[in-house]
Amino acid sequence: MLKLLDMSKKYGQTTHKYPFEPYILADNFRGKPSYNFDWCIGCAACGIACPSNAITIQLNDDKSKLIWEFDCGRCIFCGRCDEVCPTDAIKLSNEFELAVNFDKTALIQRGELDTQYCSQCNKAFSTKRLVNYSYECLSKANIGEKRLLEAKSYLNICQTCKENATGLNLTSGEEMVIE
Amino acid sequence: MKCDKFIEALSQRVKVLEVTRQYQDQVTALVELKDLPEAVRFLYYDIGGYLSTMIANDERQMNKHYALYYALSIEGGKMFEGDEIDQDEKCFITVKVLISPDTLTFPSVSTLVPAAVWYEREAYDMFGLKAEGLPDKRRLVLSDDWPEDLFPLRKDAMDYRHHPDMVNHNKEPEYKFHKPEGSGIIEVPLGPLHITSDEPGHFRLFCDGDKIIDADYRLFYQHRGMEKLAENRMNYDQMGYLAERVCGICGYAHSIACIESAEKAVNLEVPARAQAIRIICLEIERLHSHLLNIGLACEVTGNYTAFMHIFKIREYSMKLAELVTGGRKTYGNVVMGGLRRDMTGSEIKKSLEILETIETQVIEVWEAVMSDKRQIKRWTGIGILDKQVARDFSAVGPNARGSGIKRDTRYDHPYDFFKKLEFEVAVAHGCDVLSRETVRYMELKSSISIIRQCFQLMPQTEIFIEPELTVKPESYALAYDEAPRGENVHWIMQGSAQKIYRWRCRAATYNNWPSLRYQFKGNSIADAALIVCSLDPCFSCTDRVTVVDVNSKKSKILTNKDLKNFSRTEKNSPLKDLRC
Amino acid sequence: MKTYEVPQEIKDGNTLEEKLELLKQIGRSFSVFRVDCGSCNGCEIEIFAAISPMWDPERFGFKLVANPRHADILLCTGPVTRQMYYPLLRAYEAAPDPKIVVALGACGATGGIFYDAYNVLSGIDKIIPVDAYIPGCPPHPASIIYGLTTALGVMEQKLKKVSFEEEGELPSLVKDSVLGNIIFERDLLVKAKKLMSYVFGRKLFDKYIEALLKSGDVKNTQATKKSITEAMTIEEDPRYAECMGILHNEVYAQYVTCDEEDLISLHRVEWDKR
Repeated sequence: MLKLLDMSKKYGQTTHKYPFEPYILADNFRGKPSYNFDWCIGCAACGIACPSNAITIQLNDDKSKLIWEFDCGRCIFCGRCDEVCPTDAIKLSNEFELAVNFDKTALIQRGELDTQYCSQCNKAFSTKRLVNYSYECLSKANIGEKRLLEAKSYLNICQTCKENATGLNLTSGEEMVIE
Repeated sequence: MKCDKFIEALSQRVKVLEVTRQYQDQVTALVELKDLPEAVRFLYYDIGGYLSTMIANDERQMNKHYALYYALSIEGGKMFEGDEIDQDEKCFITVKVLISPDTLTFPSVSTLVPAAVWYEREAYDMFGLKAEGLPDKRRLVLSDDWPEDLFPLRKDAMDYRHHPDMVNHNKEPEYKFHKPEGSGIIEVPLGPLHITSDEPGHFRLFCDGDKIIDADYRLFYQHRGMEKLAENRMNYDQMGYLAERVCGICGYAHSIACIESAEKAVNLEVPARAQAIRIICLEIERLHSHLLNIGLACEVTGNYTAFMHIFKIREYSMKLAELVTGGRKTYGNVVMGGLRRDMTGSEIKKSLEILETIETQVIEVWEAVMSDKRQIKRWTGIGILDKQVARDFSAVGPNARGSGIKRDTRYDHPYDFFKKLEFEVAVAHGCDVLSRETVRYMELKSSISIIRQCFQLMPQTEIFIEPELTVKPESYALAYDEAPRGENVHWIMQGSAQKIYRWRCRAATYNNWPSLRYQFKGNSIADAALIVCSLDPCFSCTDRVTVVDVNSKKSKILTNKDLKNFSRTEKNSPLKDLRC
Repeated sequence: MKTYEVPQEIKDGNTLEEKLELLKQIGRSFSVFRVDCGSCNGCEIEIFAAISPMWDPERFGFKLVANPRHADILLCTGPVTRQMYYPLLRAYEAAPDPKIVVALGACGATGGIFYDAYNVLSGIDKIIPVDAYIPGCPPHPASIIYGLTTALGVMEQKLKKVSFEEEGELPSLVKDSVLGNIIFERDLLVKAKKLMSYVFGRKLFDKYIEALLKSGDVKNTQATKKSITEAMTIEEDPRYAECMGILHNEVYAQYVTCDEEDLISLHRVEWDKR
């Protein structure tokens, strides 16, 4: 028994001074994800990777905007969104002071991105930013001039139209007319 | 190859219909339904093995039957020196049977091998498969207000989001407990909500005077329906995160076992550096879990000072975890094909410093606790787990090692990097609480040495490889590792490219619970909390107690404080005024 | 699916005014009762750690009590499983009015990763009214102390809902490639992440590109070899140093033709940890 009391004297007071002084965490601690709206391109990789579906990505009612929404209450702080994002738009920060009173909506982060309409069938299929980003990557990737020009057009065509065009091409040899 | 010798011996005994190999040390033997109990008994007692897990599976879409897989770890009986199979012959043998959907019955194995009791009860709960001859037929897992004929894990039973209606909470259904015969028996219920620790669970102790003669329990308050969730919503990468939240203390061992079973099923070899860091994280988890348990064992017997000192040391191990993985408890760095977080040189240096601190302080605190004679007296002779009972019920972890049985997955079936490391298995022979706590202390020291060895031998390869998932549907494999509480075994059968077909997660404490009632017998009520704590359950309890004296019909409500005070001081029994 | 409806007398006893009155009266002594509604235990262990001497909430006056009838604050964790629905309601009705309910962890706030499983009623606020939410999986003990002091009004809430409704000018997100082909950067990043995982792989990538640019002419194999080797020797951390060499040998050599002597010898990297 006395040995334990000796140890208390030896180590003294070990309490952290938080909250009277700020608490420093280890580097790379997984705290709250912080969203940088200017870099988000609406690719939805984070929504697919999230194990608890804390990130939801949906079109709004009139299909004019893509809504990216993150609910910190459901987040499990795993860092998968950080890992798969191609533009570093969502990163896990060091914040751990996350409590809210009464209203759960304070935990939500949200962004609205303009959708891109297909040039053939006029349906909303992607975001403008994603199309522009893809074009920028292609233009720096050492492909030929003519190819780049074609890319400018076929990036604006939706999945279904592309599939139909490929099918037509294979079955009857028709080429898709690109404006 | 491995296992062939034992399959030969088995086919002499019963008719073996088909033999398939899943991995270099895992073989499945298909037998006829009527031969099932004898096949399992032969492998368990005659050859020398322990029951690792039993999986029930709905294979009507594949071969129009239900299937049962009894997985046994063949390692020798270990009851005495020399009763062990050679290191390079130890393996896993699974006995498989097919059950027709018209009859839904199978002969129970638990009449010959008591360890299978809980597994067979769960097979009824989840699939509706009835075991003939099973002594205990109550529901195990699902809640008491669950509809009678709804079996969740069948593929066509219900959507994974279906919620049957709740009952009015004042009319909560009752659970039937098994009562012993005799008069003058007092029944002491310990209900779900409690102050001291961990999870809810309901225990009933049947006492004669002050001595406990029998106990019964109702657990699974935490059943969340994870196995069905994994089949429907999760792909291979996300399953690691789900498995980690099975338990908040040994969660990382679950996520490693889950991902490794998927990797074994596709025969994927993980880079050496990833293996080494996985072992390091597993051992860090062992550090914090054992410190927690030793601290609780001190606190329950009244030694608050030691409890606080041990928790102070535990904070260092949490800091180490935060440094290595970025989170204090949920490490979340496992993916199929390796790890998603590496260690740099400066992190290694800082970790070694923290390890030094932990080691010196742990040795100091243990010496201080052991020099206290009253503490040792409270721990000696309590909660004896007989060696034969441990053998019959397949006990695992420090529970079994405290009774002299040398079972440790890292030693019997070395996985990952363990093939290159040296370590000693900690065994004690006292069978009581003191031996179990001593085993945990020895394991703390060996964990620190394992981490240091891993740092020294750290290979310089990649941390992650792209798994080429040539998924073969219906291929399955077992994976196992040593969680702080014992052997964790996971089983995965693959389905389509993104999802699994069946995942069976068997936590370590699952095998330890059935033998708990034998540990209670002969002890006084004051020690009930201590015995449950030394089992180190992933489901523990102690809480508000209602004591009812059946004879005099008087009852008294005790608060948890009364019960704990009684446990700490052993004076002023709260049952004094009930006896007349 | 029908669940609990809060009886009228509990609702009347728990209005906002009553709660603020309670906070004023109890001063600095709050009794907390823990209710575990089917959690995995991670949150419970963090509450335990928050009671340990390193964090010491008793400085603020928190005490754990054994009986809900003595409690001012109910600290609930876990997505509510079917079996724990009944004990939770018994504890809620036993606690005296007015009371404060705090939902701890991702599972308590919204159901977490289990939000739609069959045995789970998904979040405590579907059953009883909740006053404060503390997200985290599990929350750091510092978060728990921050959360409890915020619930009592001692500290200020920091989070607010954030919503971006208009897209502004988009900055250019794709940098120019150093070699003229952005596929080189892509392969480099993939290999860096495979060697050192995404957390450190990005830093490795930046260090490598910086060293490459320092050489003056990225297509000159001798100059780049010299500059990378120099960067490796100055680098303090042996793991980064070695991985830079591996990146050079395996990725750079595929885009710029190298002879045998242009590759970096990795034996020169000393593994010195002590």
